[in-house]
Amino acid sequence: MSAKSGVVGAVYKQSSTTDTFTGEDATLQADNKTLIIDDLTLAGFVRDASLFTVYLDGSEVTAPYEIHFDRIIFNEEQETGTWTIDGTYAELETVGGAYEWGVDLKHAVQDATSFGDTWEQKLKGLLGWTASAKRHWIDDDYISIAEAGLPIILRLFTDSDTYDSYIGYGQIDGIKNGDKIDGITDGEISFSGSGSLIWSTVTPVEIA
Amino acid sequence: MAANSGIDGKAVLSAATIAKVTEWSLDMKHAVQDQTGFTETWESKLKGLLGASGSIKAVFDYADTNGQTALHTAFLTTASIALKLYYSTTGYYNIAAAFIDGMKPANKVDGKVEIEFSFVVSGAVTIA
Repeated sequence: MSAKSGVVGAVYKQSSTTDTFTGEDATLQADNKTLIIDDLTLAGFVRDASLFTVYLDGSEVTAPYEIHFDRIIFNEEQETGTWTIDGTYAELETVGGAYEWGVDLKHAVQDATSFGDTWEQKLKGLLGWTASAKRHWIDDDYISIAEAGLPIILRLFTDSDTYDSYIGYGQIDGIKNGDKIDGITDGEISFSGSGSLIWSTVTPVEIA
Repeated sequence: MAANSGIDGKAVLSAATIAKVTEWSLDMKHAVQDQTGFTETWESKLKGLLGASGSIKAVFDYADTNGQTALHTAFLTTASIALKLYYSTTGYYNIAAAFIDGMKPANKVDGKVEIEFSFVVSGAVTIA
């Protein structure tokens, strides 16, 4: 892949257009915690655990997990075997475009230095992310989502020719709008991530 | 020694040169504690722990499997990475263990997609 010129990004929310799937194959990743659905056309999981059931070799798995865009992440390591998922996915609906976006991902690093050390020693902890997007117009689309406290799916593209993008669930935690007599309207929306921000090349879902 | 041109720089993750790097920085600190007591006229200091952190900026390239993509992966895991930050064609800072603790991808319609990785060093930094 060559370098990419600045291209559009977009912010989506989950629409009310949903569909269900049953017995879909999924693959447990090398960390033994992340379970990704094989058929990525079913990505866009509705973030409601009551709508999902996970099976290992035909038996329901009750271990706690979190739902993400195209995957389930267990709190603890799981055994390998034949994994399947029953669940619900939703079509994504564009909320608004942007002319600039940025993401700030952080992996907390704790200090683990002890007596006798010359250099500081470190250890990794929790992951988290925030993001923001800027645009040149103002309307109430984000405001109504923020007021309702609705989760959004943020999809930030790095390419206009493919679906290469960062995707994650988040909440709108800030809206800044402004206007200047010698400028144009300008707005900035900030997002606070909830769960993972994943790299995805998945084509947006269209439910017939 | 003559000054080094920036164009000779590079950042190496394990044995792979990270693609499209435009800038790196390393911030090394040696903590200095104050040990000034009453009646002293001038502050008195004492040295403590050494530590380091830094960042690597690049033009975004997720297809750089052993470089940028590996840094993404390292960010998500708790594993440490080894870095060499070259300031000339042969000279470099050697970091045996560091943690990627931040990633900042960004995109501007009139710019290009860029990414900045930040890291915290665990243990010593040496110069070669």
